[in-house]
Amino acid sequence: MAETQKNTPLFVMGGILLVYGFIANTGVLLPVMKYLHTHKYLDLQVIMCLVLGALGILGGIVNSVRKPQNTTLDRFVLQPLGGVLLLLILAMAIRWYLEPMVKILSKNLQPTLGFKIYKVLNLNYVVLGILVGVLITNTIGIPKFAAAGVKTARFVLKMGVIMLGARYSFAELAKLGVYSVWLIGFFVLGTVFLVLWLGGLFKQPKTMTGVLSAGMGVCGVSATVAVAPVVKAKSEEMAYTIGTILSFGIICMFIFPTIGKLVGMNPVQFGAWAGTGILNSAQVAAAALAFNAVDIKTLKVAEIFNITRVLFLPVIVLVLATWFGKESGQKLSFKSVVVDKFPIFILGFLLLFLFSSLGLFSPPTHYKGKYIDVSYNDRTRITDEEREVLKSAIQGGAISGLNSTQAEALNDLVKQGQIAGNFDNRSDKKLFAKVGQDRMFALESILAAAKAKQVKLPKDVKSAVKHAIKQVHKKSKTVSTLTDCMIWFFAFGLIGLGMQITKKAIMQAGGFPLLMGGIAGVTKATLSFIVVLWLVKDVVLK
Amino acid sequence: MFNHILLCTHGTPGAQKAEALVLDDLLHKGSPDMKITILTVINEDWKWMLGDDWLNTSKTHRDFMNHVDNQLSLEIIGDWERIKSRFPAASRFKFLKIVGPVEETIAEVARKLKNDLIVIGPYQKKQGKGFKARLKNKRFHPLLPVPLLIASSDD
Repeated sequence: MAETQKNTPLFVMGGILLVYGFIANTGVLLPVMKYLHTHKYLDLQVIMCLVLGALGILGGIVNSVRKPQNTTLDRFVLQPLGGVLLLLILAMAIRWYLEPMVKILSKNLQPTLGFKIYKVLNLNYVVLGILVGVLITNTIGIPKFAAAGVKTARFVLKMGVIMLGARYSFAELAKLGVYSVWLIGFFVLGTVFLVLWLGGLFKQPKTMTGVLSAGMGVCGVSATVAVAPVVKAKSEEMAYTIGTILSFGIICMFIFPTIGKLVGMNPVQFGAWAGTGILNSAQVAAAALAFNAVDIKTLKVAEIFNITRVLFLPVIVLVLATWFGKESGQKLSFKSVVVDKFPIFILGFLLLFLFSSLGLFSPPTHYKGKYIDVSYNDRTRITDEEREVLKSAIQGGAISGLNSTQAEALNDLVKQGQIAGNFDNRSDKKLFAKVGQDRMFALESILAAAKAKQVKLPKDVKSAVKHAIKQVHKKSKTVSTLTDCMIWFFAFGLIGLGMQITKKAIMQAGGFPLLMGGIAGVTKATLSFIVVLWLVKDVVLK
Repeated sequence: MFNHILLCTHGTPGAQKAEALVLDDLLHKGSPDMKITILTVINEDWKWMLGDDWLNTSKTHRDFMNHVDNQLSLEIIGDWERIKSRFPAASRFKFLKIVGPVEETIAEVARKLKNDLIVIGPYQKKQGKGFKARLKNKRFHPLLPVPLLIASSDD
């Protein structure tokens, strides 16, 4: 009985998910979903809720009838299950309810405020997820039953990056790799030396400048955690440095995407800037998804920069260890400094990249390794801005010469925001796919007719239509599935990481680390902004 | 008047006023067999200082937490040495370091050791160096098992 009581949260969450899944399946919630524009994900909502609900109930039963042990099953499945379910429920609630409600509220408040809060603060599901995580941990705290599951967020985020590996081509990786090695190399080393110089200027101890330079230069808290034992940082130095980096990271997460949109950065430029200028690696991913959560172009660029930074970490640890060890007479082994600090998950990323490049995920039935994906999915959508462009072009009569099929396809693209079949036919998969593909062919014919000057098509409309067509051309079904999983993994991981950011840790910011960190952080963000705008050109991303 | 005082310190200027009050003043005015326990609480919030790091391996996390542990122990030992050298009489008393939430840990230790007085330093407008997580009266007062004495802010 006591065991059953301990598992009450699992039964409650499992029960709620099952009930929601069954109710959603009846279609009762359809009017609400239509109002929130989430009705296209009805089937996904039902499947996810039923599967996760069943898992929760099953886990609760197993935990109740079986004594807790120290087995792999206990450690990796049964103990974290409560926290994993909680994070998934939060992720689903944010994606399907909170984000749409914030959008609607922002639109309603626009006449009063003169701007859309949603757009200015980039309050998409990723940013909202982090904020909800931060809010929970700093108010009610992480519930006991969820503690083990929340810790899995770090692992899940690494899995997300590994899956992202399948989305790069050799050309992309080579081009982005060159950009990132140069930019990161310059800014990492530049910031490290700037902080070391500032440390000398303000007469700060080497232990402090060592730990701060790594944190500010490489990858924020991660670098601080890796370097602190090597340079023997004192407790207050670690606390002040981590506090400074966390506060800076949170501010950047909101400011960077807004500035990036204001100056009209393209995904490559923004990804490069966020990947270079934002101190903390978790917030790099968040800012990239905040800039563009519709497709993952920006995330792809930002993560390459993130990975390059992480690869620089062992090098910087080695440099600082040598610099610090000379004075302290401390001897450090290559293994403890470099091998132990090597981020192993990057090997997984490279492995998936290799598999994808070798065509292992693309069955021969997919023409030239491509298939058309007209299912309801975020990754096949066009941006809100593109939708607005199409809408005003149609309403303003800027497009002429279309036949009825072409006009219908264009109107549906505005209506659905993606190339797809009809919502009412979604249960008949064959018909749904055929209608979707016909619409894609109609849109392709519009572009061909525009080229032949048979129809009048403004430039921005042409670009939006091209993007819509590109969005449904996918590398392979496996890669698309991996991408879907990856988006959920990032959402899950970032909510979990948000739960690790406490007010107490942020409040530690202070002293010389805050002053020196502020100077170094602002300098790095400003200079990288200028350099990126000046040097980084668009790279064709698939 | 008091038989066993619990002196709580973490080495900040405010805490040093509590040290002086107990080891300079109360000790000399009290009975000869008066006992004092000097308690340093390591704030459990240190566990949150990994922040949102997700890139490092669990070994690097362990190394970091071990380093924090060793560093805090070294700093606390240094602080205790400072107390002993400033107040030589302190050497005959017990020094304790415990990890936990500050308010609950002080109350729990006072209860366990059967102290009859808890002494802490005053809140300082200009905060001293160190982990910024100070004791909260609202949380602490309802837990108090014995009277609490706060040292004066005046030097």
